[in-house]
Amino acid sequence: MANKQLGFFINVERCIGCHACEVACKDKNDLEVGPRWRRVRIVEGGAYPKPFAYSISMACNHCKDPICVKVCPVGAYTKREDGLVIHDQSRCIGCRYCTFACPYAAPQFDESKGKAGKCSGCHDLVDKGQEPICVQACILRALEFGPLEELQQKHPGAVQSLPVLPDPKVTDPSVRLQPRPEVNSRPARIVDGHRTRQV
Amino acid sequence: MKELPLILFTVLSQAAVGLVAIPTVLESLLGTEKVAALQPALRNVGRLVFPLALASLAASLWHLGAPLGAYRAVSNFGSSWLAREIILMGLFTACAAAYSHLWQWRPENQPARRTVGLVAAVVGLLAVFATGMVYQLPSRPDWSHWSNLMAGFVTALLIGGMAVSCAVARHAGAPVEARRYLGYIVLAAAAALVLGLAFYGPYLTGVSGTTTALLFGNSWFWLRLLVGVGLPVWVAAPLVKGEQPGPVLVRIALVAVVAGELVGRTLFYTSVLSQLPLF
Repeated sequence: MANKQLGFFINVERCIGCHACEVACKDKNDLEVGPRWRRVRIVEGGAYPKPFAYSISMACNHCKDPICVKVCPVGAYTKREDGLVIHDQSRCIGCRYCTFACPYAAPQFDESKGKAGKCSGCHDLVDKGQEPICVQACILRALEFGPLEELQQKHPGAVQSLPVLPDPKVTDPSVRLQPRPEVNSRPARIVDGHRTRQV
Repeated sequence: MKELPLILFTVLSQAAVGLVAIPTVLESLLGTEKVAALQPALRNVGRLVFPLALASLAASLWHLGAPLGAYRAVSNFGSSWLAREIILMGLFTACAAAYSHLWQWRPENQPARRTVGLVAAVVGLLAVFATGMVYQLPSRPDWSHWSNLMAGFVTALLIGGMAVSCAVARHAGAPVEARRYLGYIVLAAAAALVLGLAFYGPYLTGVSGTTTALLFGNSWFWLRLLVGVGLPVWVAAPLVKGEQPGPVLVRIALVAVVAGELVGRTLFYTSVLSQLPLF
């Protein structure tokens, strides 16, 4: 597996937005109220008789060109040989610059610790040959993890980005998404926990 | 407000750079005799530089979640503009200490002061550039515009220009040329700000309607332009002619320009950061 970029496959067609991945991530990483290293966002739009809603579960995309690694002043971020981007919280000084810079808002500031934190791809589990906890928790098998090339071969219809997501050219995210027809329709709002953003 | 430390850090540090750069330029442009006449006015300004730079560093520490680790913030200078900014601001503060020390204890040592002032001004202007580069992020097109890169220099020149004008207004013996130069500096800074906004407006409209509404739809933005830029221009007009505007008016304009820069910087941060995460 070494030297092959690891990444997530997100089956948007299959995800029902149950948030099990999010809760499993919070539980494993013992996160306080606030930070959600994996977040399920509901994209809504359309109108009667054709309304639509779909869920996107997204964490750190362990980008090939990670902007967090470049901008962090203390060098708290490193990219491993397998492509996972790891954040060393013991080095972090809580300047929040990574939270400004990441287009996917993967690094999040934890007020209780005064430091940023983000998905590490459960590298401790991966090193033991296991899957990240979110993948293990998904009851619909909508999340997969592995070498990006293999994920792409397994899901030939998968794409790197969706119209509702940030421009992938900025960081080249190591993620593949199985779209559904509605992703090309203009959404009206994105619901992220208690926050709703009109698009 | 979460961004208050960043607002104070950037505005205070840029003001400190202006307070070194402008007296240094004036001392370089004027002859020895005229510099001597200006010295009592510039001394008050020179002594302020270090306290301002120190206060800006304190504000930058206040921003951190774990300030005790701040010393590590220089380690990734190879790729991080934030690390470069911290290094340059640290160097500038050291230069500012020497500069203020010379004004306080050795005001007669003009050659040393000019050399230290020149070094401090160059390092300070590089630090202002680094601050601007921190916000030139490919993931934040709302910020990534040359006018935002220029904004720090505008702040330095506007606050610096008005602060020196204020000090000069209190000393009747100040040469006419000094007033003229100060008038040109303030007018040039105000013109650069307006020109930058004239280009930034259409650019931002194409990037994000929400940010455009949050920035240009905010009445504080227009109030800042009217008072924080209009009043200094009002004061600069007689300065350019070599005339001395009333000291009270100059003081009011200094307060207006500082308040205007604080408001402008607040809008810069909140118009973008209040929307995060975008996805």
